[in-house]
Amino acid sequence: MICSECHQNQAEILLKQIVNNQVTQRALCAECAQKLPLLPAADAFLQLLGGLAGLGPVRPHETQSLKCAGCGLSYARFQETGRLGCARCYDSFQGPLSELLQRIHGSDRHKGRLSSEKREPKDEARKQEELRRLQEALKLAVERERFEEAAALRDKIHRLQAYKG
Amino acid sequence: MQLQNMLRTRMAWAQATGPQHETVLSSRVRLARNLSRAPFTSVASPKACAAVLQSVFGAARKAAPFKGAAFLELEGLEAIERQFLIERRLISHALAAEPKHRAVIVGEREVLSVMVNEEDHLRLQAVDSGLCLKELWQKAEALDEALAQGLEFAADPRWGHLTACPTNAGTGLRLSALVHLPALSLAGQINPLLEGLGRLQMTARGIYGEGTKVIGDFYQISNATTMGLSEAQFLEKVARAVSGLVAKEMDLRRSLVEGAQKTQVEDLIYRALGILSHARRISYEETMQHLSYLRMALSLGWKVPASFEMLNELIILAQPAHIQMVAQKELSAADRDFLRAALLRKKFKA
Repeated sequence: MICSECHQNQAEILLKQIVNNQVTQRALCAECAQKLPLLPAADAFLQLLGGLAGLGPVRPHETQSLKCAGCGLSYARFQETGRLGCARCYDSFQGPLSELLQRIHGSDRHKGRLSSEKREPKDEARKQEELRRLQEALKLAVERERFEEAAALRDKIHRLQAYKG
Repeated sequence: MQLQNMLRTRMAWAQATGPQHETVLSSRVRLARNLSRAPFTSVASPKACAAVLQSVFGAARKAAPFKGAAFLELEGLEAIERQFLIERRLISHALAAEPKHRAVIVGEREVLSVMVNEEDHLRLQAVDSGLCLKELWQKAEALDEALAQGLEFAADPRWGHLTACPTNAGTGLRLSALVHLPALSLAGQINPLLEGLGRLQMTARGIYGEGTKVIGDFYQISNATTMGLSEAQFLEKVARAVSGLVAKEMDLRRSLVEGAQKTQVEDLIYRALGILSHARRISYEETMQHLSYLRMALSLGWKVPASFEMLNELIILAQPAHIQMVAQKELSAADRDFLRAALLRKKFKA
């Protein structure tokens, strides 16, 4: 058998890989097998992220200018790397992120537990600060007619108001 | 020194004591966590990474589940030693690639461990023999709680645990089982099954997880999503899918040895035994393929000179960095193949 990569040398190695939940087999010579990276080059998630820019209600010009209030990471940068910069990125990018989470997980809501210390804001002052921040974001979302985002914010405000510390 | 000790003591999952260990080598529960006030690793300065490392070590030293744990900073380790930790599935390739301010904390018998400053600040892991996801979840949860006493994790009632990559957000929970499917592989039935897993939002990977390479008919099955279900629901989902695969594999194994293919399967197994006990040079991948057939023979109750525990141990010891750790020096591929063959002959002769 001839190597399926260089089409010259005799194949010595049968490489089995899983790509998109499918086992594929390739016959390779030792030289070509050495050159292949063990890790898949293309990150399926990054492809999803790239594909998201032009899709759905989130328009590129709206996401391009978004910046995280915490670390300053731009949404455009996030789309390149697929990695967020800090915990506050989630709230800063909540519109497009919510849509992305839907596509990845089929949901943008956490239904599990939280590590003990972080279940809710620890004290009243932090709760009030968080409420003020959320209400500002809600006002902005309504002004810009981003209603899905506004609904999510409203839910969050209700939950926080109902919480007794 | 600590690593040489690890080489001598057995890790829990290799001991082949867990439920369904004939087909499920090990189960693993992983939790992704970040500190709420520190930038995520990919954008953090070396100083910020050092601070995270220090906080995590501090909290881990006080955490009861980490009594007697080894605290290993990767910067102080040789390349071979880092590879050795990858082979023991305690660290990822990504963590080994950038050792500065990276670390792993390894608990007793390597059941519990935490990678520090991987993509997320903490990656908690619990691993043991057989299909035991529920028990491991309880251990991982206890470790999570113990660490949360000394660390403030980034989390929010709506988003759940906040991770560097949104694919891990919410529960941060990745449940996986390393299953051995030689009969399904021989019968060419793997692909439709893996496709079916995809539709259930589950993923199949090769033995080392991140990569995709299939070695020795071992498949790592895990949940592809982490948000929208509770931990209990994810546990149920993964356990059910794995049990389904295992049942299919076992049915097929039985029909293989009762049917017309019996001689063919016997031939494969005894050839495997012949090569493992007589070869003078053998690669890791070839070793794994033959060990895979012997494992199948054992599960069918055939008389082969091996036990599950011995085969699990060989799966670990025959790996390239393990061979070099035993030799205590760097070796060429040819020298490794020579020493691997010698190790196998010794084990199968005894």
